[in-house]
Amino acid sequence: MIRDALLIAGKDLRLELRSRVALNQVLPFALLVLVLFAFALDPDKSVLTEATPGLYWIAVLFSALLALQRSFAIEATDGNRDALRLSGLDPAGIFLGKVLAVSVQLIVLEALLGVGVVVLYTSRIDGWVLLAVTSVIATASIAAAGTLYGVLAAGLRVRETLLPLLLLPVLAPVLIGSTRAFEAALNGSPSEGWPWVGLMSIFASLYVVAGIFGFGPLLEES
Amino acid sequence: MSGNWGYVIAAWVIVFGGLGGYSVRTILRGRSISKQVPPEKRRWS
Amino acid sequence: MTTQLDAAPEGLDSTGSRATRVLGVLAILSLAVLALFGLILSPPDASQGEVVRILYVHVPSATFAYIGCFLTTIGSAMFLWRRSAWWELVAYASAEIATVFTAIVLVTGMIWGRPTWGVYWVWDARLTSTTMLLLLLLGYLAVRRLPADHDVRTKRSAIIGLLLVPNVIIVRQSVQWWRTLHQKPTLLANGVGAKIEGLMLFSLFIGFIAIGLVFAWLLIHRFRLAWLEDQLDDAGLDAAIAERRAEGDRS
Repeated sequence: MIRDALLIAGKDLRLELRSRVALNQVLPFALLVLVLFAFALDPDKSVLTEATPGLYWIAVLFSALLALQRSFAIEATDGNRDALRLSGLDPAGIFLGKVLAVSVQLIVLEALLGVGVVVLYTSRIDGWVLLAVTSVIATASIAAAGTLYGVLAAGLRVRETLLPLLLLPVLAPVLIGSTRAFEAALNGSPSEGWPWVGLMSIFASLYVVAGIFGFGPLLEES
Repeated sequence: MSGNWGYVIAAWVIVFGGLGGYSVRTILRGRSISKQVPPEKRRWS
Repeated sequence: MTTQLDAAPEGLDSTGSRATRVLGVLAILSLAVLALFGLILSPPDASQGEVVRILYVHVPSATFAYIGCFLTTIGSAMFLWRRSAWWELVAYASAEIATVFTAIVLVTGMIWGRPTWGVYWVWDARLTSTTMLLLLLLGYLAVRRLPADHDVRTKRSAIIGLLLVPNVIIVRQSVQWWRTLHQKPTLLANGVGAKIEGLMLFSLFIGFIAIGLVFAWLLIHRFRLAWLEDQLDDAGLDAAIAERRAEGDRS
């Protein structure tokens, strides 16, 4: 299973390196969201600075939707999905591989976006460990739940409108948790952030397990 | 305090109205679709 | 496998039966008793005044909305595990009814909130969680109603249904922590926690019975309706296949 996962992750990431869609489209989109927030809120008052963690994670969430759609769009061409099914690869491995690939793309996005946030919103950065762990767990949560619901929506004609409707309410706890954890880290009280990391770990575990079991049957008939 | 009876009535009307409306809709659709389905297939089997 | 209770007086041209008639009469009677006690016989609350009467319908609706969610998850699990079409229909019917109840909870909650807090909406744990519940249910219904093959719809919505209760639990917990860990000293008193006793408690009790009977009645009817809808879809599919064959014969 792990071997298959690495195989799929490698394939997806190599595809991304060659096509650079995430780099050329998703990342600018994330930056765009941040800039739009600056337009919508008043940068001269403290609103923007206070809301920074939340705005950051909203930008990540919206970008994740694009990255997930892309992750399944590449399978939709030229009967790729059939090839995937017949390849004899363990479906759980395919699931984990896709989660891994999306996670890597998101982590890179988050790091770059973090730089953008510091620059655009002139924030201070503190509590590194909490920030890093939160990012990893939140990313895993988003990728796992996103890949599961992604394959569920894949192959349906309404998938572009269905995935956000399904995924965003489910990811609300991740938005709440990661924002609170980031706030705790930036406010110098990291001990308040760790319980949120715990909650998100439960979430991530639930969806990794659900995906391992559910991905196969869903892939069969998409 | 008695000025709040308006809110109480509004809430109860919404509850009864909402449940009633949904009930009527369900029954009516049941009748209309029943007609379109052959009698032996109309109930769970 | 129709039992005596399933027997329909009008020759099966509606979703009614002896069971639903009995249930329906009981429901209407208990709703009347609820109105009597809730609106007339029970006293106004010491602090909330008359608006406490809204809670006699609001709270039971919330309870049965959650019961509906549990049924949807259990039904989805049974469908995925045992391929039980019966349980899948229960899941679908429960979800739709739970959605109606959740909408009612939201609206009555807002109406209760206006005189109590002065505003229609606050981002407190309860209202926010209920809104999230509504969104999760709408997601399930969207998939179940997709213009797609029956097997595809039922299996995919079942996975969403299976995850419904876990999602609801996680969302409720996170919203709760969010709204209570940094509670500023302003009193957004959630009046439902207040002591409730005597005739008021009795009214609430009647509320549970009445709303519960309505829920059961609706569940049976909606289940039968869902079955009919599926039959219609199958018939539509058969007709399309027959047409295709006829075309093939002709050419």
